[in-house]
Amino acid sequence: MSQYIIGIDLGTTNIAVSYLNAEEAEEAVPELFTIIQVTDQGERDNRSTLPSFLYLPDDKEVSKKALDLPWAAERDYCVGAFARKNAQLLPDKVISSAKSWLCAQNVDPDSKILPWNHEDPSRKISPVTATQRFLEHLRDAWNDSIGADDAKKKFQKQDIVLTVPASFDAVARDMTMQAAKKARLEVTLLEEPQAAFYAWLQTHNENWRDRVAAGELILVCDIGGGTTDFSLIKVTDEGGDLDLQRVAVGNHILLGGDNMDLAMAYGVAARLLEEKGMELDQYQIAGLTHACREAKEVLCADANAGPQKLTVLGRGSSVVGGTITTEVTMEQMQESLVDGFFPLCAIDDSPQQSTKAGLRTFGLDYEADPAVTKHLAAFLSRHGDELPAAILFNGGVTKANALTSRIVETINGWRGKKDLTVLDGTDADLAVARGACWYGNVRQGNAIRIRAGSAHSYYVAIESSMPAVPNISPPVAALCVVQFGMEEGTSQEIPYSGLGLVVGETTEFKFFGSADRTEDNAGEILPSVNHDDLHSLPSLSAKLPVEDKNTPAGTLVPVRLRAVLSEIGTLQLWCLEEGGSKREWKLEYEIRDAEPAADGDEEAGE
Amino acid sequence: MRISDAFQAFFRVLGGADLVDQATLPPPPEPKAPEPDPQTEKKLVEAEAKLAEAAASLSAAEAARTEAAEAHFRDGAVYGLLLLQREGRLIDFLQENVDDYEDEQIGAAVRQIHRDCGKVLQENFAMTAIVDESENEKTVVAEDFDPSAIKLTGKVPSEPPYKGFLRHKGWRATKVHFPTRSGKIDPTVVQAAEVEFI
Repeated sequence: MSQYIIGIDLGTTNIAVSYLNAEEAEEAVPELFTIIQVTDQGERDNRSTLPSFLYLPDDKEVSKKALDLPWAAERDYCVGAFARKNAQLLPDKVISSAKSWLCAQNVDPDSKILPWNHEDPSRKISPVTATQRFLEHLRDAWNDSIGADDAKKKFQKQDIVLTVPASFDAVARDMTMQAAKKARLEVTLLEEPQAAFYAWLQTHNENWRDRVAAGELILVCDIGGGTTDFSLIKVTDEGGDLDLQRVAVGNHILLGGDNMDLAMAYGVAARLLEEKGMELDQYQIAGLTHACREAKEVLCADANAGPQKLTVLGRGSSVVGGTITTEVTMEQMQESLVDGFFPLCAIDDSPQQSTKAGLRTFGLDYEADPAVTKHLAAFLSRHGDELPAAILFNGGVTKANALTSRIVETINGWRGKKDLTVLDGTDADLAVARGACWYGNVRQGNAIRIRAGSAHSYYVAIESSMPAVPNISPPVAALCVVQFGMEEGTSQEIPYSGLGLVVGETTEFKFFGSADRTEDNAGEILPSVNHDDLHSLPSLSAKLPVEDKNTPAGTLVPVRLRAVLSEIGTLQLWCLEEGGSKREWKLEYEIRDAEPAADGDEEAGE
Repeated sequence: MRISDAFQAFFRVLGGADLVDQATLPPPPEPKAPEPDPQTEKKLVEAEAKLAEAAASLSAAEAARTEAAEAHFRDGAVYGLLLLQREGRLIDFLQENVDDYEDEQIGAAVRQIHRDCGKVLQENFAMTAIVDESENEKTVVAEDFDPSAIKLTGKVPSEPPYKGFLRHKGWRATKVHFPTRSGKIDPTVVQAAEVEFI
């Protein structure tokens, strides 16, 4: 048994780590691990969170050894507070939102693409490597403090639970596991909204059963800095005792608190231009965004708050002369945030789809419609007619009363009565890390666990054999290999024959996933892969070795497929030889090798 | 002499036993044998030379230590200014000629600078009152008070109890928390110049 249980909230903008002593796990409240990090050039300090930014400077930008840490000399990159500082000043050299790149569509998360605009391609790294660097930092920071003197207290010896967005599909989860493995860590994955829910269960360990009833749906609404994540948890009655089942998760919505601060800042900037003819530069916009965030917190918390002063100090040494002041009123906040991001809408409303321009900057697929409530309506509509009876908020944005009460008002409108229960008592910023820690604890014991099935369905493309016709490629169909809701930790054979692998050659399967197609069954065929709700994933491939004289190279071996869905939501597909010698081959994701592990703690890899 | 050598010598002098070992001092002369032994004489001279050398390194070590402490003190003072500038723009404000600005313009900037610098005082120095009572009210100064922390003024009584009026509650930096610094950093820089390329 490990000495500690560690929960890591690997957020899009901030990483938090909490831990508890495994021996005292029953009573202990998870503690927050303060993380030493580079806070400025040549400067390091402890902070309660590690900003999820990675800075790749060139030689002239920082002094020699200025990014060093106690365990790393001559470092040529840094993660954390200093990297975040540079995200605005040197946007081309800083990686942000690496997590969203892990599940970005049409991008191989293991290819060296970040930072997207870095002038020196040799310095670019993959989203997987960026994630690996964050995890290595946590490992080494821990081993430099708590784990410094005792081999049993080393980070890699502990029971680690790492949270991922519920919207992460099997490939994104697999990439996260690979990043952890390259950081020489063994981790368990847990969906973030579930982690937040575990934090709530822990807070109400004694009486949570009194707060919810069998048959009810609970919505976990997690609005962080960069992303929004929805999950539905069903309360069921199992022989008189309440049980919990995660029944649906939403898509990866790139919309969060940062968008709201920006929206307010651009609103104010537009007013300054119109009223005073002042045009702000990027630096001033950044300062204004910061001021808006503070004003937002006051205005959203106190319904009677008066107008909030916004001050942006001059950039140069003339701090008084360059200062710009203005103010933002409650009405303006209402208009840009509450009505802009949380408009009252009908349950059958759906978010506006982006009109794909012919030429688009390649990058993350930001949401075209900022209306969180419409995304929520679309999510709930996709998963049946039943509406949630209770809601648990999580994420920094949900500390704002004005915003959460608008969400509650909207859902009550859909329900037709004002009775939505708000489950409270958790810390919106730290609940995920704490819940992850608590999950590590319940996993070992008999406390309540949330059961979960696959939140996505998965498909492989099958080319039908037809006579060759010039200029016409054979039609491609999709074979469902994992149906929505397939229980995690189980495997199944796909009732479909007619697939073949060629001996001695690499056979490639196009691979697709969907969070929305809940009705397809394993073995079912979709006649076409051109559906809006199917998104392509990295291809899968298998190569059969030439080893058998009876099956020379070029022979077609008939196979069937088996899908194995792990406890943590990663997926393996196997080809099983039909008849004959019953051999099996695993299908592998078609991705390149990433960076080797960074130095730090060499004894880590035993 | 490198500083590390100096420190070594310094500590050797402090740990006397070690020094005796090194200098291989002979046992004290026996009272029964008063006539000088040339061998012992030679060893004594050698030992005295070594002692003198050690004393020299001791003073060198002390000098180096004083110098290091002074550099540390100097760098720390500048670093305090750096924090107030970086987080709160205090140096920009003090260096700026504010004569030509309207009070309103100054006030707007000051409000922000005041708030940001206040955070530095709290987070890095934990600034707290020495006597946490209302000013201009009666107070009693403890008998064993520290004159560097409490200044008595006016008609100071010659004997306790020291009953008076609190005119200033005083400030104390209850901690000094600075981040660890590493690398080739110029300790005299309070704010780096910035050059942007477009």
